[in-house]
Amino acid sequence: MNRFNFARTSSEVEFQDKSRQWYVAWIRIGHESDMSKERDYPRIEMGVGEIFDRATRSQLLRDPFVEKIWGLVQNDELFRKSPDHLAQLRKQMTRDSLSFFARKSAYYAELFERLDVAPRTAELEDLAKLAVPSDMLRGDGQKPLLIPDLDGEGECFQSSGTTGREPVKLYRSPIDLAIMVKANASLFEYVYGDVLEQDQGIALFMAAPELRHRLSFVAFVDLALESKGIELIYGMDLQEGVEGSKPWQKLEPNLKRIMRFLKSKEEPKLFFTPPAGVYLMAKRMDELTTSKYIMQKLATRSPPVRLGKGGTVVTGGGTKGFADLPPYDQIVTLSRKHFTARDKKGEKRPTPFMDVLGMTETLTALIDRHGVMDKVPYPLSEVFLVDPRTFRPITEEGKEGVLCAFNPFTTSWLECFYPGDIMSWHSSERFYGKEFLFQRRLTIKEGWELQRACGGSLEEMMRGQKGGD
Amino acid sequence: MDIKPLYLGGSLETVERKIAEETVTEISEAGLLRLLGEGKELQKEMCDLPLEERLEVVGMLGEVWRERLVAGELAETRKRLATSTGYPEKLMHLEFSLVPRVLNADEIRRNLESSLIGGAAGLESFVELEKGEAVRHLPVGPTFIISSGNSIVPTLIPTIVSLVTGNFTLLKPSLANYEAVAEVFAGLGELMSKSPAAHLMARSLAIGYFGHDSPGLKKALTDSPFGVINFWGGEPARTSVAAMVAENPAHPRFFVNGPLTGVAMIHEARADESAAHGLALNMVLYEQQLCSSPTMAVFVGPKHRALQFAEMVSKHLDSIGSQFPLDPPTEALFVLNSARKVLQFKGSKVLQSQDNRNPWTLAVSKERSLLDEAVRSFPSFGVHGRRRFVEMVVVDDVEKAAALVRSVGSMLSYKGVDKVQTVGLALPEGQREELLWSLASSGVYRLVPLEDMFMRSAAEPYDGVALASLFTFAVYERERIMPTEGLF
Repeated sequence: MNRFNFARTSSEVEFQDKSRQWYVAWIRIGHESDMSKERDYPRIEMGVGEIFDRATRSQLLRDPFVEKIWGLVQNDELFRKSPDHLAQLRKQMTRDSLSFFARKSAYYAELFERLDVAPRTAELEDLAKLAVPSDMLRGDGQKPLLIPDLDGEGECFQSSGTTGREPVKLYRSPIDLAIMVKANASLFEYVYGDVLEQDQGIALFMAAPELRHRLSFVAFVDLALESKGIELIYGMDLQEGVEGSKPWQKLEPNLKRIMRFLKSKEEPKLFFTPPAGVYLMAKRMDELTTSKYIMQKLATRSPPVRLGKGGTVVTGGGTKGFADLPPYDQIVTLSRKHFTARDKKGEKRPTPFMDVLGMTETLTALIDRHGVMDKVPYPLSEVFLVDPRTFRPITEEGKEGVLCAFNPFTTSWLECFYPGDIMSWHSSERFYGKEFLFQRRLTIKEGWELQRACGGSLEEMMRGQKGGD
Repeated sequence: MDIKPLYLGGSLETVERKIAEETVTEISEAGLLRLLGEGKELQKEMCDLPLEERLEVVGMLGEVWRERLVAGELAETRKRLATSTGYPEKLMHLEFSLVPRVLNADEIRRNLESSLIGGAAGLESFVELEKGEAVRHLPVGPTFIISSGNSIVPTLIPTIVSLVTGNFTLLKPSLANYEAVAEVFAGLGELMSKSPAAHLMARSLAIGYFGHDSPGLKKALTDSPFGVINFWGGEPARTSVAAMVAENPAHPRFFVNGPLTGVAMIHEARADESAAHGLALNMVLYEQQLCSSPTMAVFVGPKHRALQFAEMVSKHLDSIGSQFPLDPPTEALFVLNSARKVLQFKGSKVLQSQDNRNPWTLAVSKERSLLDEAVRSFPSFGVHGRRRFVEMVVVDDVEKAAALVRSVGSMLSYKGVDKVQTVGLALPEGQREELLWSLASSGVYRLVPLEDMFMRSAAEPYDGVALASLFTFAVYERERIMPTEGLF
């Protein structure tokens, strides 16, 4: 699973609800995901200003294609274009992008030839051929896919590594980082329904600051808010230790910082959290006795947590790994009782809940807003579904398929991949013409029943099943 | 499915156990010891039974099967075997028609002749090796055969050899093939009244299933007077069984027929229709789950010729594979498609089927195998998870081809397989001779034509060993006194 996992991991997560420790997530870090082993990737810690400064000095900007991309990404008008216009634009950008990579890299030129892909006439079927499984990007999997004259001084992000396998690792050049910040911020504001005013508001992110340079979702939130001059408070601390011979990392809440967010009178308040985080907070508030309610109210001015004008809750990371977590609808219903918000005019309204589907492999996310719109991608992202049995694009509305994403605005590698999520789409009046619904994660078990070669007649043993009386 | 022991020699003490979703009637510990006690006595009688009579019974058993097959009595069994093994029903039809061939008396005699010092006559009496020296082959059993889970033929061969060499034989088939295997030997019941030899042989065989944690199995392996235990399969069962056998105070012979695989080797000078058809046929038969099935190909020659050959093979795969339709689960196809992509991105040219019911793949790679890269990303695409899939590695000389064959056992994509059993050759004269020693010394067991890698001659050993030797011990007899002058 390569989805962003800020303060959320899969089955290895241990969740507790203690009086002073309402949210504890353990992340067991395998040796492969030890950051100290990643010195072969350049890793420069940059602020948003430096990123844009370096991006504008990129040699790649001399390429007409990159120059065009750069110009398009700066333009928020994209969200006001018609679905047909954008579809045509994406088709052209797809062809230009493939031509760019064929020009820049002998590897891609040979790959297109092997796959019978002609960049100048490429269609969606060709993108389906070019989509790589995320599992191919584990370890150093991305390296052969990077163009030779890559801009250095970028950043490297990785998945959580909780599957026990090597994490997915992605290098992002400064220009790609700049595009990431701009494109995601624009998409966020579109789904949010308004612009985030410069230097107004405060945000709490239930992640540790150390994750800023490790998880790309944390980086994008951090950088986007920095670009808007919105203060970001990290609500968690990363603790490290060793159990036996196995190193672990643990995220623990920093109550002092959380209290600062709760007490702050800044507006809007933006709360970035895994679904489990907001759910457990809300549940705890729901179960407070009168005396504890009064004590907490005096100490923190909550519940309810007043997110103020334009306040919103942004979830990400999915609910997988938390077996006892209720459906998202129920999380929202419960949480709205204890997290309140107002619109720009100051009128009470149901607290907006936005959910982000992002992966380490993609520069831009898919974001939805509960009750308003299902997940929409960035206008220039070609998001499509393929049949898991044939890998041919699915065009029928409502039919489930494997999510594939192609970002023609990524300049370091041909960013076309599929993480193994099963989704569906439905028509939409909005800019993309489609909205996407997450259905489930494709579970890859042993695909075939018969796997015994010349033997294995103790099959229940071979299959790991238990017999017995 | 009703899994009960088959023993035609009388009643058996049994016990019912739940194994996975099945209720299985197993031979009890006490029943096992009683059976083996009787078995020892029966072995003595078998030694007095002329070999021709033993072979005649086996031949008749084959005829009973043939008649039932022709009469259509086995159709339901065949269907159920296809379901339980996952093989196409048409393949099971082929499998059923091969049974009389496996039970052919002449073929078995040929096997015994080539397996035993002094020939098959040594099973009846002492046969002279040289003047004044003779040898007789006696059953080492009782034997316990924990057989292959693959269909029925691989199970029949060791069982028949064990029986005709005079052993009381306990056979444990798999859950998947139990019914069909028992059905074959149930034919002995029809023959019992027809000849004393059949009566004796029928009583010398017991078939039963044991779960891996069954007390009966533990008793059989750790504390029963078997003379030989023959295990067919891989890990983790192999090591578990070996550990138990090591405790057995009777110190039975323990022989493992481990998981092996096949490699096809094609030289550009023999990259013809015959070779292309042969590779395609062997890729489809038994879904590459035989130890002889080609799961890799090595092409000696330039890449463009390899691609031309791959095109030829793909036509045959379309044609042959469509006759054996499969119904792959979505997860398997997702993994297959993803693995194909990894190979393409790593540099292979991938030719693939457009029909999911015949999901063949030919990946042509230059100089080195890229398959480990795909398996690293998709661990379930290991050797047991691949079907109708061959990576054809193109090299420029036969030495490099031999080196590739040697490397198979250490590849991630072959984890779970010990090594290469069979190399199917399509090489021109001269090249073939050059390769034989190189391949033989690398540990492969069979060097055969690519066209019929799956076929087994009656004369050939099994995984480097003559089964008849495994199931017997040789008593050496010398009448003459050997010269000792000068020694003392």
